[in-house]
Amino acid sequence: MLSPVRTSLLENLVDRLAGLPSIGRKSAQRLAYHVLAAPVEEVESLSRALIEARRGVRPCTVCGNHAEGDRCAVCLNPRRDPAQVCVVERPSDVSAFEKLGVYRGLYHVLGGTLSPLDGIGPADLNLASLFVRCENGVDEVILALGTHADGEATSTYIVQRLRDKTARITRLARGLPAGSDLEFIDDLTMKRALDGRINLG
Amino acid sequence: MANIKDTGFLLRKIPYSESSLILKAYTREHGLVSFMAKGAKRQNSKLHGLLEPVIHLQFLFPGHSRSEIRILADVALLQDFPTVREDIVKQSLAQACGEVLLKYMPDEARAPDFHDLLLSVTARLEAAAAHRRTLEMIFDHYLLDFCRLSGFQPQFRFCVRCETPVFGPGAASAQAVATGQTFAFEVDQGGPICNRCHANEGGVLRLREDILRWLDFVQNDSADPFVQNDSSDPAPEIGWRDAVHAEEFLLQFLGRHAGGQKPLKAVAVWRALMDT
Repeated sequence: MLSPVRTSLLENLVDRLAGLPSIGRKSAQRLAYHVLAAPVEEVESLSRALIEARRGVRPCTVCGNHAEGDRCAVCLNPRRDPAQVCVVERPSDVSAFEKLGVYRGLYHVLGGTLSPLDGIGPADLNLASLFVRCENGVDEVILALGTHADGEATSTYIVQRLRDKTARITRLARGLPAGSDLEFIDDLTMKRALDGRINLG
Repeated sequence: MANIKDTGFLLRKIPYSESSLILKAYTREHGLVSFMAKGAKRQNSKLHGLLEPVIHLQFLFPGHSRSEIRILADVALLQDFPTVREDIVKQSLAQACGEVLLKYMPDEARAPDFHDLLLSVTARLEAAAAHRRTLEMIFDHYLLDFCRLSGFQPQFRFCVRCETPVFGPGAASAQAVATGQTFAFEVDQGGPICNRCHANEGGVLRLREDILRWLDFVQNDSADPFVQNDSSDPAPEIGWRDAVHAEEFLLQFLGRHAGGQKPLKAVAVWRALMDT
């Protein structure tokens, strides 16, 4: 319930903030009061940053990652290995890999996974350009999609479509998370970890 | 409050708050149930990895609840269907079967039958070869079984008015396939009308004879539809467009008897996948 002392401008601000992911009503109120208490220049700077980011950031024409021009920073980097392409769901997955600093290949961002119940089919994802891309000089495609049912099914679909186009298709290892206790692992993860066990000698 | 166990399939996952999910599951004893899975989005949650479609699960939840949404206490794996989960074509059909349950909400009193039907169609998809025609047969068979359990089973061989066969020996029109002739289908009575009895009245659906033959075959001629029938009575050939027509007809028939046809997203994805 909104406080009766609120002005409609404040209510509008709280509503807008509460519409952002991970922001509940209370957090939205706290942010709104912070904005009202901040210097006007600081708020103008924030609003400019929001608008500039929204207008200036677009999908990379090669891989679908976030870019400020036609191509993203990874695709423009001449030191990256173009023969290796890592397929991910979202641009945030690219950030997760980049944080590691160990992967030197390029990426391909699908923009989601195939999801029958949500009505998301192949035409709704950035798949066609992946298949075209893999016809020219790609030696390895690394599938780095989620291990949920939609992610697995999307991986299999890509494998079927790329089988004759790429020398090597790999998938990230799956199984137990690092530092976990077995008693807290769910049945399916445990089953997959057992199925995917590796030989040590 | 004592917890109870029930088996079923997860049909829908709706994000709720930072870490929780609202789930819709179809269970054997309780039919369609909504659960709140607290903390299930967290990577270290025991529920996290199992809350997926196309897995037969055992749910543990309070026997009585003031809310329609029950708190999910635990979940255990009963049967995994890895081939269905990993093959997007099979998965889209399995999810289409679940979506039919979700959209048409069958009678709760028959929940065990509908649960067993969903379990059996998933097992069939798991065992089936990934051939278009086999998968179509499994889905059409599921829709026909769904209609039968819901109390409005159609038939495709005999005129609903004069009871003569509309195809095969003694049929009113032996040339129907060659001429591409269609038959009226009386939805309320759940059967075709032969061309002698049909007087061009409205309110009927129309079906070509080869589609009638296909549906009749799927319904009657094979107890196990993904197993090829014996050579004396082979399954009729059916092209992709006709298969879509047959499927669309069954969904229309189901919709007309179950409160209106509802769009099924998973069916649209299955068709898009087959088109590629």
